Amino acid sequence: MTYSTESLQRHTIEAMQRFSRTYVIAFAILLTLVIIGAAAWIYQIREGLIVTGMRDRITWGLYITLFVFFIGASMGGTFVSAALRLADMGWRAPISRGAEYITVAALLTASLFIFADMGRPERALNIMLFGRWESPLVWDVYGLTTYLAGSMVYLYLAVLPDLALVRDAIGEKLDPVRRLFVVMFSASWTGHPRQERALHISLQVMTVVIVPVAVMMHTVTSWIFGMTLREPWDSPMFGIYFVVGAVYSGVGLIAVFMFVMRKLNRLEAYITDRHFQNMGTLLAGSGGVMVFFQISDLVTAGFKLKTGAAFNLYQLADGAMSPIFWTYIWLGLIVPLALMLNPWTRTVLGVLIAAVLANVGMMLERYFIVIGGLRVPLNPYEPPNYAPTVTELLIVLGLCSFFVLVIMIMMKLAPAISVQEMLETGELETVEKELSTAEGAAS
Amino acid sequence: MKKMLFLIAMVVATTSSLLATPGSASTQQPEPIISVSAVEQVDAGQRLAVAAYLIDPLGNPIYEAEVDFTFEVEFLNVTSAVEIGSAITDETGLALLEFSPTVEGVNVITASFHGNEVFAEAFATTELSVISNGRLYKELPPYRVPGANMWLTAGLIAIVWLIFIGSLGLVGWANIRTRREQGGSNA
Repeated sequence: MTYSTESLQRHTIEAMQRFSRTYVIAFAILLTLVIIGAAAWIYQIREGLIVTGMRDRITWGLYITLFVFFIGASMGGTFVSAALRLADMGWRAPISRGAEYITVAALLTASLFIFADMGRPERALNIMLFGRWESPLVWDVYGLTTYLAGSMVYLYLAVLPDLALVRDAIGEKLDPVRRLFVVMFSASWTGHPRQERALHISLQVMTVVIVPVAVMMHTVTSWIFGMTLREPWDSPMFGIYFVVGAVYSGVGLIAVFMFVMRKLNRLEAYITDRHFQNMGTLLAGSGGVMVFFQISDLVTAGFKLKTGAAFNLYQLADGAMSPIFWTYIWLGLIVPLALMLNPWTRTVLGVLIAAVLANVGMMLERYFIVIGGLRVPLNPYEPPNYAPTVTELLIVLGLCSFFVLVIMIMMKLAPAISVQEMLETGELETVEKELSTAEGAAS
Repeated sequence: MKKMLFLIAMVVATTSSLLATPGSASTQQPEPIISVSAVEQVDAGQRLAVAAYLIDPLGNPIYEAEVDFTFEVEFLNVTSAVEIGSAITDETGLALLEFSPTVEGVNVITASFHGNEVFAEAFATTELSVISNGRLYKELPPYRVPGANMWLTAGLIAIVWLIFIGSLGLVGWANIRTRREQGGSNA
C-alpha cells in the first residue's frame, strides 16, 4: 500500500465521519422541507387534485415536468459512471461514485413525482396488475422499476469493496445504525481473488446492461409524449432528443455535485481542475448536440407548419411561452455552450456556472414541452393556461429536498470517492503526479 | 479557323439542345388551356379533390398528360411551391387529385402542365380556404406488427431482471464460498 492509497482511504473515511455545521444545518432545513412537502401531499390526497393548477385541459403540470427532469438527471450518472467505464476513461474514478448516487436518488425522486401526480395513489399497484400493455405509461412504469433496480444493483456492486474498507477501518467507531448497515451490506467481503473476480465479471455485465437500460428508460419517457395525439409532440426524434437532453442536464448536475462535495469534504487533491475541465468538455459536447436537435426540431416543424405545430411555435416565439423558451435558448444553451467551448472559461467556476445554467435551462425546456404541448387546443376553445398552486410548489420543493437529502445520507453511509476504482484505473497515480508537478512548480 | 468555328457551333448547338426541355422553349407549339377547381372552404385535415381540366386551343381534351399540383408556403419570408402530388388526365382531359390540407388559412393551389412535344406549358391557380377545426387526427384501429406481442416485451424485461439478479448472485456466491473457507466472522 502506497502513501497515496492510505491517504485516500483516510480522507474518504474522514469525510464520511465528519458532520460539519453546514452539513447539519442543510440537513435540518431539507428535512423540514420534506416534512412540509409530505404534509402538502397529504392535504392534496384529502382534497383531490383540484388543489393543484392542473385541470381537464392542462392535465400535467410541474409534477410531470420534474419527473422528466429527474429521469434526465439520472442519465448523467449512468453516462459518467457506466458509459465512461465502458470507454475505459480513468478520469471518471473520483466522480463515478457521486454519479451513481445521483442516478439512484434521481430515480427515487422521479418515481415519487409520479405518485404526487396521482389523484388516487393507493391505486398505483393497479397499473402493474391491470395495466394495458398498449399504453406507454405502462411501459414507463416497467422501465422505471427496471432502471431503478439495475441502478441500485450497479451502485451496490461498485460500493461493496469500499463498504468492507469502512467496516475494517472504523466499523467499531461508527454509530449503531451505520455500523449495522456497513456490516450487513459489506457481506463478508475480504478482497479474496475469487471475490474480486466475481465482482469484476458482475460489474462488467452490469455496465454493459445498464447503459441500454438507461437509454431505453429515457426513450420510453419521451414516448409518453411522442405517442400521444398532440401535434407539438409528434416527432420521431423525441427519443434521442430526450436522451441527449438527459445527458446534458445529468452531466451538469454531477458537475454541481462535484463542486459541493469537493468543497464540503476537502477533496481538492482528488477531484482536480482537470476533472472539471473534462466535465466541461462533456457538457459542451452534449450541449452542442442539444443545439443541433433544437434547430432540427424547430426547422422541421416550422417548415411544414401544421396547425397545432404552428400554434406551438408562435407561443414559443412570441406568445405565452416565449419568456421561458428564450431564457432556455440563451441561458440554458447558448451561454453554457459559449462558456464551455472557450478554454479560458472552462475553469472550475466556469463549469459550475455552465452546469447550473444548463440544469435551469433543461428544467424550463421540460416545462414548455409538457405545458406548451398541452396548451395547444384540440377543439375550438381558448388556449388554457396553467400556474402551479402553493400546494404544488410545496410538494415540488419537498421532493427536490428529498433528492438532495438522499444524496447527503448516502455520502455518510459509504465513501464519496471510490477507492477501489481510483486504484484500478490508475487515477490515484495520475492525481499524485499532478500534485507533485504543481508543488514543484510552486517551489 | 473554319474548323474552330465549326467546333464552337457544334458545342453551342449540342448544349442548347441538351438544356432545352420538351415544349419549353418553342414558340411554335400551341398553348393549351388549363383550369383548376376545388371547394372554396374546407376543414384542416379533411380530404378533398382538386380537379384540373387540360384542353387544347380548339377545346379538345388532352389525354394522358401529367398535371402537377402544388401549393404556396411561406417560410422565413420566402414563398415557395410545395408539391402536393400529380395526376394523369383522362379522356375528358380531367386530372383529379385527392389530398388533405393541413395548413390553416388561404392556400393557393397551382395546377401545372409542363408541356410535351405537341403542347407548350400551362398553369392555373385557385384559392382554397382551410379552417381549423382543432382536430387533425382521427383514431383508427391499431396497426399490428406481425409477430410482436406482450410476451416478447415481458420476456425481454425478465431477461434484464435475471441479469441483475445473476450479477448480485455471482458476488453473493463468491462471498459465501470465501466466508466458508475462511471460517466465519468478517468484522
